[in-house]
Amino acid sequence: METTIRTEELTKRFGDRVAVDRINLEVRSGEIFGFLGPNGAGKTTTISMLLGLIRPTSGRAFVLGYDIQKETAAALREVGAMIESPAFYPYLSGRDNLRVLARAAGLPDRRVDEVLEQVDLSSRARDRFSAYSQGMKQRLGIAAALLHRPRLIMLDEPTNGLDPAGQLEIRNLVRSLADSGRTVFLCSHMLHEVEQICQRVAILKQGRIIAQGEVAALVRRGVLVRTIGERERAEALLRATPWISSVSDCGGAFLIDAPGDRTADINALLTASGVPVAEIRKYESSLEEFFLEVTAERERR
Amino acid sequence: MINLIRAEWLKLSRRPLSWILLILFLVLLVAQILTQFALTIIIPVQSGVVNAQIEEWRRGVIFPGIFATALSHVNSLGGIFAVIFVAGAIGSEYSWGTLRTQLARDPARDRYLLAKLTTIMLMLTVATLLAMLLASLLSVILSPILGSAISITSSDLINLIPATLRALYVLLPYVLLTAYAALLTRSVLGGVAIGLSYIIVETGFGALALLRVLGGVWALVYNLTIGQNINTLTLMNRHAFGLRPETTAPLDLTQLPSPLQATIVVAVYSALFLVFALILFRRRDISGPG
Repeated sequence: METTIRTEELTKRFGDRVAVDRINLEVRSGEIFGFLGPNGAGKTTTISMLLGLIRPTSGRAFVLGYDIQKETAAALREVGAMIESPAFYPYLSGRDNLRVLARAAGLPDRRVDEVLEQVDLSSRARDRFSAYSQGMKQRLGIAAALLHRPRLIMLDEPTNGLDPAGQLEIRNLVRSLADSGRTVFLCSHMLHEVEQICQRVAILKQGRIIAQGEVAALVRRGVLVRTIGERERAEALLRATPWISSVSDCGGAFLIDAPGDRTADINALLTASGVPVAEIRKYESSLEEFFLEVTAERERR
Repeated sequence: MINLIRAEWLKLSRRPLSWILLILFLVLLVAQILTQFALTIIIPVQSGVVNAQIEEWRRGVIFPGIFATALSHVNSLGGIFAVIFVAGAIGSEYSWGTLRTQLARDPARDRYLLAKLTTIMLMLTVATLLAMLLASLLSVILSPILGSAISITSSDLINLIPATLRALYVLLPYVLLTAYAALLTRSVLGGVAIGLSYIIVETGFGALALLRVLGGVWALVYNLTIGQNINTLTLMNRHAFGLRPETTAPLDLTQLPSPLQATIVVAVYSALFLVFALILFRRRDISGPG
């Protein structure tokens, strides 16, 4: 599959502080890629480097096959972006703000009206940007990103400040963009949102990628067993069972890689050996749980 | 480049600050002309310097002196307004975060900055032409009251073109210094503070003029300041339309740089500020609003 974004040991330092630390990313064409991390993790710095706004201290980045440092203009010709909160001229209307961008790109005003329609902002297009609600500002930011029909769209926290209905609307819009063959690079700290729409994710913490892969592969599945005391004996019993391939800790309980239909066998195994069982059930972790787990693991190290 | 200039024009022409500055600038021009007119009528005819001053004011209200009055307004108070306008146009892009929105789509920073500066100069040209038009209209009304016929010769009209260009050329180093300052400080306030400080130090307090008193190399340094060379160019504009400020003020024409030197020195300062601004803008990271 063709690669849309690739970084090699991409690093940015601000004085002594390392904002982005040797990250290696790979975003494939046509996918919705989630770039996750808590606030201050380095997501916006990374996106700014991918857009040529911030120069990397070291490492390289390729966008749509172009080296972003050497061929910035060629790379950005087919990239639309919304970075952090949408930034527009407060005294201009939403439509005029887009007209400024359209004029600079040599696009006709007709295209402005099309994207306003696409993000459902036509009825308020002539209102001043300063009078817009947060949700309208976000939608205008997305409209600006779509203006020149880019192949790659980078959205930084696009659902920030939106109510649940607005969030759903944006998620549907992002899905429709991917359906039309575009690649979407979605920065977010809202893990449930990313889990719902992204195929692959990278998790960033303190400037480093701590996990990267298919969403389906990052979430954990198995049987969750919680015992009342007797932890060491229970663990030994489970590890000695041939049809259990792995046993790991999951918030004080055991997460067992075993077929979901063998919960009764696990219960029988433990109770027969005198280990009281408090809870036993099929388990599928969310991306949020995975995120908390890997970040906690990092901190322990 | 044309597309970028069109985009900049849309931004700046819709900005309330642009209109507020233009209106204030024109109101102050009207006030200046009316004051000169009133003083010409009110102060009784006397002898000596006072009489010469009154005559100079009268000539500044009627044709063709009114053109010199308007251009002089452009190069005095207009300079202050230009500094605020430029600092606003560049510094706000940082404070609103809009610079990032723009450069994330078109990363050619040199072209972006040059388009912005070109648009600013085009708008200053429009403001200058409006000032000339308004001053001319006032002169048409006031000249008969002063007993003067409205007469504009073809040479006056021909003089208008180089004089207007000269007035805009005089604004150029201040525009570019302010642009550099706004980029350096990433703020409107920083641009205004540095731009105005330079004007105030140079003209307001006459601080740099003290160098001339020291003589020798200091006098030479003074002769290379922007203000001293601009004095030559603004004086040329006054002379072009029949005004003689040296008859009413202690102005030693022999101390002024030649027109050639003045043109070169202003060009050198402008080029330096422009190059500094371009280098800074090209190298700096563009971060979020702040």
